[in-house]
Amino acid sequence: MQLTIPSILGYEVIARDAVASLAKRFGLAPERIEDIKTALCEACTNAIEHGNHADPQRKVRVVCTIDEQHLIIEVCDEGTDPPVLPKKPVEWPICPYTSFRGRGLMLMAALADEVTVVPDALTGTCVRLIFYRHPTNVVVDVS
Amino acid sequence: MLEDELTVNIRQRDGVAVIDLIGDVTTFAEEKINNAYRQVTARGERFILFNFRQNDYINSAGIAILIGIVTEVNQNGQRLAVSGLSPHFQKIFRMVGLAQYAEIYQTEDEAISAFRRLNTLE
Repeated sequence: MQLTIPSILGYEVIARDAVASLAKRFGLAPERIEDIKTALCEACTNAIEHGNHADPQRKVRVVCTIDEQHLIIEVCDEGTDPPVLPKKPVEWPICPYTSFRGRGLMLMAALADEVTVVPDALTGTCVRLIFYRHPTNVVVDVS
Repeated sequence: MLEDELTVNIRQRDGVAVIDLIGDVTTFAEEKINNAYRQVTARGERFILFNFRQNDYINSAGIAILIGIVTEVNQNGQRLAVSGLSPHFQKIFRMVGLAQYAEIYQTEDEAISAFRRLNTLE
């Protein structure tokens, strides 16, 4: 499923509702869907505010795929500046806060099972959020 | 512009200033929530309860507003609690550290009872 929303705060709710509907139809647990909704909204608002500088002409693309084990969401902005990130995603939950804001990254890292940020000066930055359908059943291949 | 989805009501119950937050708590809520807090503070209220209702959407910008108020509550010698949050948002509030500064209760009645006990002790 792919959605494109304008960089206007509030539109992230449209993407949230669509992804939540998809997740529900594919049988994800209600509490897992709540995690997905919160993390997705944080990724979208970051893309709108920081990636696209709230320029309504710039779009945010949300791509959601789902299979037997995962729900994967990509949130991509059209920003040309590299994102300023406090350390690696794995460290976000323990980063000290420098202002009242800034907890969105922490929430994404705490709620999703995997978070990846891929900056691209030409096409914008993509945040990839992966949610395991059954977190305890996922086999991690370390070979 | 999308519709503003928050309604704020202020009422008094058993010596507690109850601020009902009905709807979404996002960056758009800043003025309404801060105004409500300033109103009850100007009245000299010491015990304040944010009573959440029908909150489908609370994001980090909304949480930042509440963290700003927590800071003022501490400076003003007030006591703050929250009630009515869904289990998911109770978890979120604990994740971001808000639970360190504001007691979280399931219901308004539980919060009012706790404030009453606190008022008796103090």
